[in-house]
Amino acid sequence: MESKSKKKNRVPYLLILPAVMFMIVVYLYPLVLTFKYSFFEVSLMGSDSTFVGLENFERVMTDKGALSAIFRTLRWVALTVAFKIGAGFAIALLLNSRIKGAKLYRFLVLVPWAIPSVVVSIIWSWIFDGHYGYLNYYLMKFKIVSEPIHWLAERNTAFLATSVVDSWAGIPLITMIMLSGLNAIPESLYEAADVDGANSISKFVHVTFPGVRKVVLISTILTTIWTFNSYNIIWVLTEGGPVDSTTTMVIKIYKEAFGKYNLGMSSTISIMAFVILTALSLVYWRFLNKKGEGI
Amino acid sequence: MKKFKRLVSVVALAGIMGSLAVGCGSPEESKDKSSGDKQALEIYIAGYESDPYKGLYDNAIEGFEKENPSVDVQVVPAGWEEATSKLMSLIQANETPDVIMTGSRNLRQFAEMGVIEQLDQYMTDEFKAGRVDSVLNTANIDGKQYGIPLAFSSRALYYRTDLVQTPPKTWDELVATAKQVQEQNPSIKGFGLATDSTAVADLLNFFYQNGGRMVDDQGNYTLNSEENVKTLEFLTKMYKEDQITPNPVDTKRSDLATMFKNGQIAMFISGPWESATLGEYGADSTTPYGVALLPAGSQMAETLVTDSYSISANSENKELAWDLIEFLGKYEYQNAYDEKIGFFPILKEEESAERYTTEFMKPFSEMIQYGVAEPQVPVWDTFEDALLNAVKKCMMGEATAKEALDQAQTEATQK
Repeated sequence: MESKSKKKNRVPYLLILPAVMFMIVVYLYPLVLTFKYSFFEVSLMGSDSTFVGLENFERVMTDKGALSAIFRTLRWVALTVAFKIGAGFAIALLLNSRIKGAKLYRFLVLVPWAIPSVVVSIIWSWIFDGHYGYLNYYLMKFKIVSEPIHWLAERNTAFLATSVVDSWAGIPLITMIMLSGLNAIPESLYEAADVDGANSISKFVHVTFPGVRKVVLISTILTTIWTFNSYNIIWVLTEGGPVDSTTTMVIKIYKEAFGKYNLGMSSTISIMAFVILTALSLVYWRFLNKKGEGI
Repeated sequence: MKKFKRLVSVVALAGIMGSLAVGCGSPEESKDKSSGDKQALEIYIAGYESDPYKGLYDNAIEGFEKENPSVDVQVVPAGWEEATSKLMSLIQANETPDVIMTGSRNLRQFAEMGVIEQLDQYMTDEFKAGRVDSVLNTANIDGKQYGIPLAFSSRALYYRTDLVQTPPKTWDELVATAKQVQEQNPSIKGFGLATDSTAVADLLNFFYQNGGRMVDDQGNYTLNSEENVKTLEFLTKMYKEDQITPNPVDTKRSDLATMFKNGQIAMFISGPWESATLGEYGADSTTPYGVALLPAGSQMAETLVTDSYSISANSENKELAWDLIEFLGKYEYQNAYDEKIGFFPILKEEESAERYTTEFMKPFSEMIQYGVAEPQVPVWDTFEDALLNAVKKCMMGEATAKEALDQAQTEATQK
């Protein structure tokens, strides 16, 4: 009897073994390697590596370029997440109201999400182009500006432009998540509010918002993590430039590894990003596992 | 819902982890490169996919395969912008292609890393005798041959013949001419200047023309030398004060010919290949163009840019790799390649070709005598980034030329 139950117990582990092996090879091994490299001076250009202890971390904390990349990342993520959540929520509210052709709009709103991010970036780089771009064309046609704006060649505009494009590509998913949250609010609550004579503002404050509060929180955390990792869009639009104005941590990681071939520094910044993201994931995990309170 | 939650969390975590696994390739057993019965030979070609290069390479490679039926040549293509980083990751993964074609400016880096083979032992006297010495020398590092050049370019000043009567001969004249054009045609900028990574050679022209160098004889950086500061001040002045050039930070080298063709700029500097965009020399009447020698600073100078073939030090088929390089450099293929793209002679046999004496090609040919080699720096990408950032900082008004180049010097020197 005992051996049978033991055997029974082993089966589930055997079943997940392939998945575990996959996770170890694809995620854990590189992660451990990255941890190791962060304490070494490793150049991609040779086979030697020297143990340097915390020197890489010290350099990141004192290096102006690396430090500003960290703060820039926080600013960029904050702005982009605000765009995504704000617009995503607003669009979800609109789509949830009784408008004609809501189904068509729901489909249309998904379109940006379905386009590969590199294609999105190329399309937007044409729109933002300082010499021939659509945006300048219309701004000048309607006499809003008198001279073309070099969107991707000025610090602030490039920062804003990359954030807008990343938001544009990210909004559809947020909209869909919010929409499912809104759909889950029982119609009876609104009816009860109607009976109580609530106007639309107080209905939003007392019924809609409490109903989707959790969805908003969780999608904010997830979006923050995804946005933090945004690479394709920034790279194709500006390559982290002009100079370093759109160099976020992820771009910096790439530049250190494949521009300066300094794997040690690149790993160190990766580890710092990892710490920030793990903290965020833990917050997310806690929300998800709160007993009795589903999404 | 629960399932969905779990799915979301797994996807999220996977995303986090995955993004952190940058550049963690590990050496693996060198794989068996034979495919079927044929012996496989890999060749890495930067810029392979763009027209008309692909056809030219394919044609020559087909010829080689016909002559060596037991060999299967496999091309590993890369765009120029990612040429070095892609190659570096292949090297890191122990998958260096047998033959590598990339910019000669990277040869020192690869030679110092020990990833490319010294080629002196393969070159016969006959081989050397057939090649233009000065061009062959651009792939020679400290007396050792590490590459065999296959492309050699020269630059000249393109100008609109209907707007510019006499092309400028000096920097001052360049500014004066540009201003004059703008006075008569307010919608046109006098001169186009680019600051993307493909424009480095064109920027180096200016630095060289003022007597500046990027490295000294010992290979130490001299980015912030007095001459270089003066050059950068001049370039910045062209944009900020004289206002004769569209925003250089927003301009790529590949934009210049199109901007010229569209009537946005009256002059720009580039190689003979731009006639593909501008239309045949003398044929276009709406934007008629001429070519002239580069305007001189305190002296005449031009950056000598070549691309070279080299052989991976890890290759198991070095002899065969050399055979391929030798084959691709045969007159039949080399001449067709140079003629089609507008490159300058690699082989002595090409030097007498009539195409170099045409009115269009003359200024390019004449510039070669003022050639200065590209700086032999330890890591080209680091240098390039530092220099371009310095130029952009000045153009964006964030630093003076001195400050920007001091920072660039530190950046380039720092490991």
